[in-house]
Order: sequence, then C-alpha cells, then structure tokens
Amino acid sequence: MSEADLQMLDAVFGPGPGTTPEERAAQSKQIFVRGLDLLTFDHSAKARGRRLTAQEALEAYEFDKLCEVVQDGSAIITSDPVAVGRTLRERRNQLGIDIRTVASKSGLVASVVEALEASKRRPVREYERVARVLGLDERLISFNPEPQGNEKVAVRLRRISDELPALSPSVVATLAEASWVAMTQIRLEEKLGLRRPKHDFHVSNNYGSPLGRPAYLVGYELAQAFRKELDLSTGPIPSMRELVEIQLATPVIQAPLGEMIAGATVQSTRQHRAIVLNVHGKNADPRVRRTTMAHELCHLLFDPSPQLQDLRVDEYDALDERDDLRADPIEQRANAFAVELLAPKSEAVARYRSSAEGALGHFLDEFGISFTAGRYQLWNSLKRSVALESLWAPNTAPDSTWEERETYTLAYHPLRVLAEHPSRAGRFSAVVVRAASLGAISWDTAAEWLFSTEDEVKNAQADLQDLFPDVFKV
Amino acid sequence: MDLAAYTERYPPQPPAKPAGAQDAQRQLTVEEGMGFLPDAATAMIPARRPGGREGCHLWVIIPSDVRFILEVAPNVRPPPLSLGVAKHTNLTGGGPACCGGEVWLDPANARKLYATGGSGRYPPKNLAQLQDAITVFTAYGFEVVCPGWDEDNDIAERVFR
Repeated sequence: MSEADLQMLDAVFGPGPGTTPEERAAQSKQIFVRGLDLLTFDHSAKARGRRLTAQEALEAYEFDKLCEVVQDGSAIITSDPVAVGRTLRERRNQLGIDIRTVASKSGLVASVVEALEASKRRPVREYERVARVLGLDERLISFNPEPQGNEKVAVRLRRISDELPALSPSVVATLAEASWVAMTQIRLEEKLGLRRPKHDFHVSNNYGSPLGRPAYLVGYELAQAFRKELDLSTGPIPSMRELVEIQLATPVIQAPLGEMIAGATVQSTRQHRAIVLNVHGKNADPRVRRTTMAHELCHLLFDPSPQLQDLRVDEYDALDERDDLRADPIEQRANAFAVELLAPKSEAVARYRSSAEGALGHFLDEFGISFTAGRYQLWNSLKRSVALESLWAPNTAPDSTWEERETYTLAYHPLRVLAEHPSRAGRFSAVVVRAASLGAISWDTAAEWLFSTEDEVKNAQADLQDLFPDVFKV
Repeated sequence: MDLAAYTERYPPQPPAKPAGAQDAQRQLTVEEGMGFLPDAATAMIPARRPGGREGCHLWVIIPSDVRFILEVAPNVRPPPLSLGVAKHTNLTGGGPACCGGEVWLDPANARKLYATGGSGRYPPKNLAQLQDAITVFTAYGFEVVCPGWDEDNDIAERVFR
C-alpha cells in the first residue's frame, strides 16, 4: 500500500489502524450524508439527508465514491436522474397496488408519491419510505438502476393476489414491506455475526405419492427428524418464536395481514427465508399462532424453491383442513409437520389415556396447539377409534404463559410507537439497535427504521438488551 | 449582478480544503485550455447531456474574470495531471476565488449554459451565493439553467432533473 493510498484512507475515514477500507471503516467515526443525488461528509446541521456511518456508506457505495467525496466535496450517487422514480413505479405495478395504498403505507400523500414516481426533486427520506414499503433496498434506489429487493416475491405476490381475494392491495403492501424487514434483518445479522447456522436441514422433494404413502405421513416423519436434530424431548415446545428466531436464526415478522391470512413464507434474496405471521384474526390466540408458525416452518425448511415459489401464503381455512383430506400435498405435508412438531402423537395418546375428562382441553393448553389441529392430531393418534365429535373442548382462553412466550414484544416494547408497526417490533428492533451501537448503521438510520427519535432509540437500548440478550452478546 | 458587484459581496476565499495532489495547484494557461467568459464560450465543448462527464467544464469567479476549463483538460502540457482531470485550483494556481462550479454548453444553443455550484474547493456557501453567481453569467448574456440547492446535503445540487 502506497503512502498516497494511506493518505486517502486517512482522508476518507480519519486516522486509525488498518490498511483496507473495511478495516478503517469499522473503526471510523466519520459520518456521511446521503441525499437523493449526492453523498457528502456530514458538514452541516442543516443537511436533512440520511446520516450514514462509514461502514454503511462503504457497504452501499464502495470506496471509489467515498474518495470522490474527499476529492470533489461530494460524490454523485445517482446513476440516472429518472431511474429512481421509474424503479418505484415499476415495482408498484409489479405488486399491483395503487398509489393511494403506497401513500397510506408510507405516511405520505398521494401527490407526493406521484412526484416521487416522476423522479422529482424531493427529500431522500421520502424516497426511502416508499422504497421500504415496496420491499426495495432504499440505500440503492438512485444509485443502482436495479436496486436489490425481492423482485420474484413481488411477481409472485401479484400472481397470487389475482387468485386469493384475501390478498388485498393493503395486505400485498404489508407483505412487500415484511420482505424488506426480513432482508434488512438478515443483512444486519450477517454483518454482526449473528447468523451462524447451527443446524443443517435439507429441502425435500418427498411429498408422498397419490397412490402410495400420503404426504401427511412424510410430514410426521419430518417433524420427528426435526425434533431429533434439535434434541427436543417429546414434551411441549416452550416458545416457537425462540425456537425459530434463535435456534434456527430465521426472521419471524409479525404483521397485520387481514382476517383471512394466517401467515406466509418469503424467500429473501440469496436464498434466505423468513416467516411472516399475521397478528390479526385467529392468530390472536397464541396457540393458533404457534400452529401457523410450525406450518410455515415446514415450508421454510423443507420446500424446495420451485414449491416455495419465492412466497407461499396460507389462509386460516386451509390450515384448519384435515391433513388426509387436503388435496395439495405441499400443504398436507406442512400441516402434518406442524401438528406432529407441536404435539407428538405418542404424547397425545398418553395424555388422552391419563386424563378422564376434558382430555382435549388439557392437551391443547399443555402443548400450545390450536383446537382444530390438536383435535385432528389426537383423533389420528387414537387411530380414529373414537368419534371425532366426542373430542371436544370448551372455547377457553389459552394459558397466559403462551401469550407471554409467543407474543413477547408485541405486547410490550420499549418503543411504544412500534405497537402500530408490529413488523418492526420483534427481533428486528433489537438487531437494528445493536447494529447502531456497533457503528454498522447510524443512529439516524436506526431511528428512521424504528419510527422514533435518535434519543428514544438510544434510551431503549437497555430494555432491548434484556428482551433479546443473545443479540447483544456480539 | 455583474462581476464587480459579485466579487464585492463575496470576497475571494482560499480553497476550502487542500488540493488533493501537488499538481492540482498548477496554474493552467490559455494554451492549455483555460478560457474566459463570455468571449471564449465559443471554445467550449457542447455536452449531449448536462450533468455528465462529457463536456463538463469547471468554472471559477475571481475579481478579475470568470474562467473555465474542460475538466478532462486534453491540452495540458506534459507531464499530464496526476489525477487525470483538472481541479478548480488549476484555474487559480491554488489562490483564492469567490465561487466555483461546473458548467456545460447546450449543444443546440451557444448562448445557453447549464451551471452548478459543484466545487470542493470554492463551493457557494448558500443558495443566495449560487443564485448571484448565476446572475453574473446572465449578465454576460447567457441563458442559464441551474439545478439549485440540495437541501438533503446542504450544498449546491449537481444533478439536473
């Protein structure tokens, strides 16, 4: 490395150890400002653009652009002045949602969204808000004519929204934004070293065969193998949320998806997958939510990409069908996986035999499984030796401990505003705050993503550390 | 506002930061491509698209004149500039100037310019200083399109929309 190169590193990042841009950025206190067109150093309190840490700026725009900031006072980061609006408009059309929906989701008025789609000069923060609603990587919307974001998910959302009436434009937009949350969480977790795969599950093309073994039997076997791999006893799983998020390092995004949709599995870029759980409808009961999560987990772990089709959306009604009566082997397998994972057959039989009265009710509460799924599981476990109608349980509220374990930061979050933005209230919020505290992103970015002020986010740090201790161990 | 009034209101200032390379302070000459507005505007290279690197000229205002040079400076005497392009300080020899920026000549109209205040060494401090600089150009009889001020970064905008 020449003296001139080292001087440039000093000029970009300030003096410090390290001989590569990445090493210097990791130690740097330099703050950049990203506008719609330009990148500069943070030279003026009046600048209203996005503040970026050196790591953020380097990762998004690369070293040459940072050198331009040094040499010219600013670097042009717009590749084509009209591309930014075109990108937003094309993605909105891909999703099949109208300007009013985008405006409502992004907190802007429709005329502003129209101006953004026309690439008019507007604050970069407005462009970023719309980009996030559309599931686009907002850092790159003007920089890269084709910013990273899950285009395949968008295309698939459009296709299935034509088939599923429950997928209203608002739900489609919520799912698109959830894919942004997943994409961003995965990116930050990788950067922080939080994504160390502990288990190696392989996708499986085995969906049984129409004339041979039914798909639900395959689902049972997958669940049994899964428990074995994770050294789980046959007892209740204390928290599906923890199992999926911590042990499997898989984002679980909770979002309002209307009354009909139970959940979805989205394939983020680079083959990463995430679960989106509806916080409305039947999932309000944490036992139903656990069942939904277990069902989506099967899609996420075992469906090959062609079957997952980048996005799989499940309706509540479909999850309530009897496994053996489901026509779609993909869903049949996932349903069977879910019930066997949550309440293994062997345990179901044992509980039934040891309980004289209210066997099903105790069973549902002990294992934290939904009424319909648990009832079929118990019935099947008893080899259908009793009448299905005889397996009945009163419609009682679930044991409150399930609510505490599964709802978690949806019920309480140190940043109260996130009650209105459940997709950001989960582990995502902790990962964002941790990333800001380590300089991987700026406090400005963290505050923007969490709908709060920088002080509010900083003040929430200690509480989030208590709620998500593993995130703060790195 | 004419040149005299402008330089009185905005006295010359030394470069906002040191030149990035030793030869960025080398004073370039008319023979090497430096020109003066308004007469030498006919020597400017027209740009197909304002804001692009092609046809981009650098300008500075100093009390005696408004001077410019094609950024890629193809006529520089050997040795070539180490950065491969001219810097605003090559128009001042590293001395003070009132303001600087970038300018492109319209391909279809020799009296129409596209000008920004994009300069790392002599940037306008605010929109008023930039707008006043533009009036110096218009006082020379040019029609000038300027992208204005970038509120996101609180500097002169450099991209035409």
